[in-house]
Amino acid sequence: MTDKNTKKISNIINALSMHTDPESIRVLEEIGTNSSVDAVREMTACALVKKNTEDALRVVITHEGKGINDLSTIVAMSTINELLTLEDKEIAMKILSETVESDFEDEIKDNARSVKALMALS
Amino acid sequence: MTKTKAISVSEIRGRIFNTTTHEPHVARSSNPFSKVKLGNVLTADVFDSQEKNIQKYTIKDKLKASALVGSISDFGSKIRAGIESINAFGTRMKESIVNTWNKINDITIEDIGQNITKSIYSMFEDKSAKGLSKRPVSELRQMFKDAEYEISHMAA
Repeated sequence: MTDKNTKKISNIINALSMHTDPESIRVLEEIGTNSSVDAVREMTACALVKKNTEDALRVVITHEGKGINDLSTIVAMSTINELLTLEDKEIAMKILSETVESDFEDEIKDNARSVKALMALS
Repeated sequence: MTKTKAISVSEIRGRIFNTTTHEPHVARSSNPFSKVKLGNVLTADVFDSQEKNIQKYTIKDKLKASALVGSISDFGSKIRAGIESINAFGTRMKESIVNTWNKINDITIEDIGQNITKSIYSMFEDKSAKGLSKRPVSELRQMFKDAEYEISHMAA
């Protein structure tokens, strides 16, 4: 991936992150989190966290293979790091709690529990 | 064999009907009537036959002539082929010129203006994240899709 391409896609992802249209979450989820390129998935997960809305955070916390549940350690760790740097953690903590108490797969619940603990400590 | 003098019809007519005049210098050696006193006698061979001009051609000559005619006709076919290829080339050139002309005609000043405007806009358009965030999501979606496709295919 060239610097020019990285910059271009980074700008698009950040633009979608800043966009107030709820449809932007759908675009990030559909194209970004399903990308075969780790860097794109990483940037997309961080962009969704930055949105700090319920819909956006649900994608990176509760969806299998996305955000904190991504198979790539780099993507998962970057997402967790982005969650930890949030100024307003209220929405994230609420979703994490709901995920732990819900009927999601054990792996998803375990990941949510760990991140919740980290966020509580930070 | 003496040379015969070809004369015109008017001269023949003059000689036949004007019997009083005599030609001062006549070549009568080949004329069988020269010894006979018949007045003015035709000195020219008005019945000049073409037979004496017919030459006898041998088989060899005929073959040579045939070969010459054949080569000429072959040369003609080559010329024809050359002309046809020139025609084809000319037709192609004409078609390409016509196509170019049509394309030029299709381009209007408005199109040129629009393209220039588009290029200038693309030069100065804000491609930063902040600038892009002002665009509709549908446009960003397409841009994201294209960029992701490009990157994923480069990585592959």
